[in-house]
Amino acid sequence: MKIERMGIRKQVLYLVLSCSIITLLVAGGIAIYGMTNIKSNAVDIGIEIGTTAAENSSKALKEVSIASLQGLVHERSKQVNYIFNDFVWDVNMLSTEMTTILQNPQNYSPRYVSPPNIEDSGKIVPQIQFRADVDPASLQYEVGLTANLQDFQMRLNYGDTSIGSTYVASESGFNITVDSISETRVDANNNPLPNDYRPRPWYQKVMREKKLIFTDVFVDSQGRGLAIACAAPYYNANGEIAGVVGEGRTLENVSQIVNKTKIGETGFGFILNQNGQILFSPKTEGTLSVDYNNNLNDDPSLFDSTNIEIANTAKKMATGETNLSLVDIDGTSYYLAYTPLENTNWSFGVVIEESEVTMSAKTNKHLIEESTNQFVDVLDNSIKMMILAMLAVFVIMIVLVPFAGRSLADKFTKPIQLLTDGVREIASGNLDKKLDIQTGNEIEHLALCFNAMTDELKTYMNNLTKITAEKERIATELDVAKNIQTSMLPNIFPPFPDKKEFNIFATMNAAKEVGGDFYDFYLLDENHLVVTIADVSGKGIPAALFMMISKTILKNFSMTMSNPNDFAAVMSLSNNQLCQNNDAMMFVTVFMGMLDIKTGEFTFVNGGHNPPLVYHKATDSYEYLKVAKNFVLGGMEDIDFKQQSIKLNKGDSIFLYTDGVTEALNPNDELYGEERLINCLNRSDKNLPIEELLAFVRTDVNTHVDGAEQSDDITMLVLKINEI
Amino acid sequence: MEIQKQLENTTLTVALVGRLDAVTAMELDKELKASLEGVKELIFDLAKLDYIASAGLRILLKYQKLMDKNGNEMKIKNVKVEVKEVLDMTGFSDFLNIIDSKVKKLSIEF
Repeated sequence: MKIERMGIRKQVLYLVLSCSIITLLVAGGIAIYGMTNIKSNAVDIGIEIGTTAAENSSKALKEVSIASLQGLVHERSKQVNYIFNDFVWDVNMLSTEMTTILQNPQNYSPRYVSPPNIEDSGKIVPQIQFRADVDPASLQYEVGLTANLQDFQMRLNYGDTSIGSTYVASESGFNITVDSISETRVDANNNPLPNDYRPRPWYQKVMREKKLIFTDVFVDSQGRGLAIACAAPYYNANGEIAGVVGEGRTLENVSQIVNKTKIGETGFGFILNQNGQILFSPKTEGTLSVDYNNNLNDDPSLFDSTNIEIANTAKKMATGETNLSLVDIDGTSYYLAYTPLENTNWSFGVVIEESEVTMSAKTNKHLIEESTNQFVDVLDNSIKMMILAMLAVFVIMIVLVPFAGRSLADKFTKPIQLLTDGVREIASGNLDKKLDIQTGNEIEHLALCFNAMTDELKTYMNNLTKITAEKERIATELDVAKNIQTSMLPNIFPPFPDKKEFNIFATMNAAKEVGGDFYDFYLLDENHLVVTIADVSGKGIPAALFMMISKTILKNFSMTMSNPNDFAAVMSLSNNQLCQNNDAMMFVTVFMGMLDIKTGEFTFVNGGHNPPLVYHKATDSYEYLKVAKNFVLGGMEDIDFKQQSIKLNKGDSIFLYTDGVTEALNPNDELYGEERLINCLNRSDKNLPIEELLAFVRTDVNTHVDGAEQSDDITMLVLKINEI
Repeated sequence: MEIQKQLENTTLTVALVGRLDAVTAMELDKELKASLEGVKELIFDLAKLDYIASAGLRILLKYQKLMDKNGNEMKIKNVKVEVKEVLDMTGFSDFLNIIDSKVKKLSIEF
């Protein structure tokens, strides 16, 4: 019991523990698996998103950078173009105005223009100079006419500080110049110096090309940086070139535009001329630098660069292409955007380091990757925290579950223990023990059932005691009844010691229960002996009682008989008597015979009984007595019985029996039967004393029965005639 | 012993199988008592009855009388030789309505 209890306790404990652990492991496993899955997916997706975003945004950023680079080139070149267009407009206007004057002299009065005077230094004034090889007097008309241009020249000079000078130089040999450097045009005595402009580049180029031209850049004589001149021819009334008008400007404003061209950290602008020389650049060192102090002719041409890439790009710029290229300049990769400038054969270029263009994109990519890594880190930490939490729960469970499980198991097993103890007490005989278990579950129900069982057991035991007592009483009474029944039969042998004429012997072996067999014999008078054998239907007390009645009635009627011929009447009367109030429908088979001791005549009536066997000494054999068929006694009222008789001689005998003999069963349910009975008797020693003859038959019956239980009374009676 | 009952309208046929002795006779009595309500004709089929004890005879007698008393009929058929011997010996064959006549005559004349 103790072991069993511990078993349930342990089982509950293990169950609780394993359920908890399995639940934890499964839930935890799923959670970790899920999170790991999410993590690996998230990392992949994150990296992918990062990479794609970085690539896309890098590309976009690069495109934006390049677009702004190109935009800057475009815008700045327009600014420069504007300056030069202004320049061209000025010169064209001068040319148009001058041509108009010459071709319409009637509209103009000769004007005066003074020679240069040192006192005018610093003031913007018109000044006339002559070539040394001409006579100023002869040119007076033309000079006067040409002097009409001076007001326009003055206006131009005043309107624009970058304009150094405007001039008109006639082929005839004079020139009128408006500027503020009169001191350069006089000698030490303030006498005007002659001026031969014909060798000057602007004059020669106009005369050569006969159209508006720009000179090469030159260093301003006033120390105002680079300068350039624009000049154009004008025509006389015949349409022939009469001279050249021009304007000289400093390129300070162009230089400023270039210098102010900045993009990002590293971006700057520059202007390249048709010879591949850098005209303007904020740089003082490197390939794209310029030294404004150098004579332009001494400046190196990028066409000659050892860097083929630079040389080719410079050539493309010089031929007027607009483009974008990636070039290596002084060991650094640059994006270079360029576009040609109008009016000149120059090209405006803007560069920016490639790294700067891609840097933002790189930064962007880096940021995204960082975010992804942070996300992965957060996930990693979450998973770690979760595993830690699970471990903590696991440990707590390992510690707590045994306690919880033990108390739970105790809760389960305690009522069972109580129940066990109670049942043990009940089993030991205390049926008054009541189990008091209030768990509200099946165990309480079981206890209630046990209580009910105990009650029933008690009742049953009480009943059993009563019934046993009753049975014992009845058995005792039946025993007594059986004794009485047996003692009712004549059982002292020899019964009539003084009667030597016959011998009589009978046995009755009752079956377990009291039965209904009986035999009887008595002397009616000195000469008449009555023998009876009978079998009442059924067994037990009713049969025993009916047997007693039958025996008494038969004997009483026989005793009143006065004539042997009334023997059948005795049966009839007895039958009627037995039929009265025989509601139980009991009946009895009776064979009754009467021996006349003197004559040997045996008169008999058979009331449905087994036919007896007769031994005739003369034939030395037994045979069944041929009996008339009469009905049993007690079955039917008012029936007649047929009386028969035979003659018995000395040595003859008659053997009566009940069906307990012929119907004795062996284990195979085979009857002993009449055949075996007659064979047995014929086999017997005919000189045997009649007591031994019955024992012989009984032995033969027992042999046949072979140990099977005797089911009916076995009753036999033999009557032997000794002498007549 | 086995008791096989078959009721057709008011005819109850009772087939007895085995041995009708003191114990089984009481069973048969009980069975019949419970089944006779409204039965006008009671037929015992003894084709498979091997043995009849005096207690069995008593039951046959009892119900023969009961049926007679109420004006009903009782018949016995298919009686085996072994049983017929007993019926003859006890004189019951004269009082019972045995309708089957194929029974062989007893080898032993009484």
